[in-house]
Amino acid sequence: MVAPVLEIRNLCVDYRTPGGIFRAVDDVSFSLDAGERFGLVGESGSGKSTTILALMRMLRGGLVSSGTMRLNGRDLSTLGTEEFRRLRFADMSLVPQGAMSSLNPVIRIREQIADIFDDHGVRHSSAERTRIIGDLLQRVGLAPEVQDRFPHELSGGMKQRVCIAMSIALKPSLILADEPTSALDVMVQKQVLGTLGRVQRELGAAIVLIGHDMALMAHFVTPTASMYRAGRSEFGRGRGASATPGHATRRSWINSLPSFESTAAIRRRPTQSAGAV
Amino acid sequence: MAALGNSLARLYANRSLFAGLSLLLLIVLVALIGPLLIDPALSRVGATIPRLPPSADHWFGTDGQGRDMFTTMILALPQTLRIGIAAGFISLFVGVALGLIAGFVGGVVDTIIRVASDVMMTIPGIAILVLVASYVRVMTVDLMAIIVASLSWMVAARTIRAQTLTLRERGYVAIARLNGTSGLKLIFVEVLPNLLPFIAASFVVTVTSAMLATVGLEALGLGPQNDLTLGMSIYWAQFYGAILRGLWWWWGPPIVLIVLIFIGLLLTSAGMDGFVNKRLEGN
Amino acid sequence: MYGEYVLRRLGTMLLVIFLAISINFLLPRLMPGDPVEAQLNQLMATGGGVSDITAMVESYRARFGLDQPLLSQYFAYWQSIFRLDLGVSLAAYPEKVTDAIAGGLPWTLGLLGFATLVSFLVGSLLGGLMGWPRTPKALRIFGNGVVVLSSVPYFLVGMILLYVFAIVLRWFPAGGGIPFGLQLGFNWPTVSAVLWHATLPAISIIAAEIGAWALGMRGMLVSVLGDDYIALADAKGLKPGRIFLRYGMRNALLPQLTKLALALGHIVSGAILVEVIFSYPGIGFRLYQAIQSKDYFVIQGIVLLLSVSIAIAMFILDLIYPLIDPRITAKGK
Repeated sequence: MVAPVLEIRNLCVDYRTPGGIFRAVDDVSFSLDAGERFGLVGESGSGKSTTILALMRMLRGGLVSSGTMRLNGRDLSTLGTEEFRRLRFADMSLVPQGAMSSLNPVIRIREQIADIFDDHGVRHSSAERTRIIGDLLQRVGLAPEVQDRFPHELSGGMKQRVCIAMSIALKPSLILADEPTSALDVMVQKQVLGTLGRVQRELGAAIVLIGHDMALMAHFVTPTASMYRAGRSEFGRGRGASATPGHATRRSWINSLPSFESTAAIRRRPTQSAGAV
Repeated sequence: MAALGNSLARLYANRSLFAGLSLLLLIVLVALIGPLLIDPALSRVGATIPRLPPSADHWFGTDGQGRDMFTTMILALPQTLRIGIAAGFISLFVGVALGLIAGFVGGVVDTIIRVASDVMMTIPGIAILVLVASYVRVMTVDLMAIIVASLSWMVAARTIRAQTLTLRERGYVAIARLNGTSGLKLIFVEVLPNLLPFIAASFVVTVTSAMLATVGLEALGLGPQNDLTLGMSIYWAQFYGAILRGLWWWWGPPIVLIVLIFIGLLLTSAGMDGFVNKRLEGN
Repeated sequence: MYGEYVLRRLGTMLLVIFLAISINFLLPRLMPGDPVEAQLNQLMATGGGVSDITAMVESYRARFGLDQPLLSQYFAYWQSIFRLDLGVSLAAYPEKVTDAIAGGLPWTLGLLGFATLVSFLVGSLLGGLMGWPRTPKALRIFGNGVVVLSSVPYFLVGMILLYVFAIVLRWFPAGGGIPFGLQLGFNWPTVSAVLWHATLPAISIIAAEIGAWALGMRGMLVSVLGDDYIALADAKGLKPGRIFLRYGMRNALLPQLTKLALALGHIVSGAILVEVIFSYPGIGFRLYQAIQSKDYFVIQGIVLLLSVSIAIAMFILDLIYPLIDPRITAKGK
């Protein structure tokens, strides 16, 4: 029996505020096997991003007050600073929310991908490096020449694809995607999400996807958990969950989504079939 | 009353600001009360034996012209402060006015003001000041303030202009405009109150800039001739070779006082920086 | 792209120079009083014996073209500028102003250029380290001390240094650019003498200037560290050194360069006074001497030279900026 890639048990994250201790994540548990897609949906402030930040040790001001986080069987809290640094993007990577501002504006794309290799001790000759980076970019649907550009020369969708390319550079076993498409146009959203799904499947990595667009998420993920205001997480299988809403909030969300019949009536356009991503 | 206590508490939390303002307050108090407690006769040329080192009779010693240094310093401090503060106010007023106009009216007026301020910033301040000051027959404290103010307004103008441009587009300003509020009322009711922190910060900058220019001009000998200021006493000390002759008590005290003023200004501006910059970040 | 940008910046520089020269022309002429009369009065007071100077004043006026209408004086002024003729020194008549100033230029450039470069680079690095969370506390305290020092005007630092190191300790000379009577040449004795004399003035400027850059850089870096790309760089598992230099400092340095361009005027002003304190034979010292002797044309010539130099220096910085920030030429201004 292979250990799950990610195992989170009874995670609690607290923030210290002038008004007292604020519990942002309250007793959250879930686990992921290789290749699985896990969606985290919820309102703003329900603690979705905080969970991911806690995993990546990127909490600003927050503290993991209890619970365990295991990546490939290793307890993350036992790792030292340098050990954890080496683990980042090698075993577990992140696709950030705002790719617009997540790329260093003054250095070329090539360098920003190359430094992942360099700082994780992976050596390449210059020619090899160019080829490898060009390869990575092609896998996310970009031309290899993009590596010579600066971030401001790319569109939002392109920048997000670069971030996806960076996240798979060292072939991690877990990808954390924090609302990777929220800032993009609707059409581009589907494409980028499609790309993300494809590379994840090719890699065989597990993926945690955070989002607030239920319809988009439902097509992408297998199990879905919804977090409602730092309450306990609720488990449900993606597609099945939409059909049998249990929680009051989820019910109201689902009711607010236009059903295909009404969409057709409003727009008088053929509806898109809900194909697998 | 509770609001006042709250503000004071927050002020104390900002160490830099608190230290700076306290220091400046202390200096101003000395400048205001000091002259009432001493005998100005001791500061006249030839009052006592010249070039005496500090002693019980003369706490700061005497200078090359027989003046008691302590008395002289107490009298010179308020003069220096007068120039700096007056110049600070004048250039603040000019800077805020120009910044508001440039930001609000825009267009050609804005371009002219912007170019003017950029050009003025290019020309080394001391050069213009020297040029003007050297032509003036009799320099007085007030004249000095005006001359110095003419070169300290640019930074204030820039800051206020940048802030006005942002505020102009903010929701409540646009709404007030739609409601038909006239230009002037708009400025005073909607925009100005939000500019207050920036105006305060700019005031510290203009005063610092003015003091710097003042002390610089005076050290060159271009300061007021009749009222002794801190900078001028340094000039006279230099003129009579006090440094080379080892008469440290002649030029030391003015330097210490000037340094204290500048440290106070620096701490205050550093303290305000954190607060003001956070607002600027939002742009 | 870059070419367009260069042309635009060049245009701005020329405009600034034009305005600076015009102000330089106008300002003295708007002042009450007559330079020639004042100068002659002074010369008389120190030992002349002419009973009626009116005729002399008239002839000097004509000589300096001060009796012409303002507009033709203005054109004549521009003509002489292009001929690089800045007039003659009133005090050391008939020495040309250009000769009186030119000698001081290399001294000032050397001192100021070196001191500014060192202050900016070392100060920025220090400031960056102060803003970086992982820097040891000792360095931070030292940095704060340096920052406080920067509130003091340069020349006051100079006076203290002069007293302590030149008068009391006698480690350095008390002034001048070279020892009296030294024959200048490209040899070690000359170079070492020059450096020895320039040390205290340079330290005065550096000590007082470093703190300003450190403070600015610290603020800038702290603000940059809040940006998203720093968070992602951290998430990528990059080494802290790389994040500090290539992601943090590299971005924080850009606005600092702009500030450098704007601060040039202020730096030059401070340096002038330092030269005076140390009797360092640069432009600043000559300005001081010209003020003492009320040599208006020299004063004007120096002010002109300083303004033009600063405009050119700002232009050079403007040229460097897009090479470091790839976003500039694309955006235009």
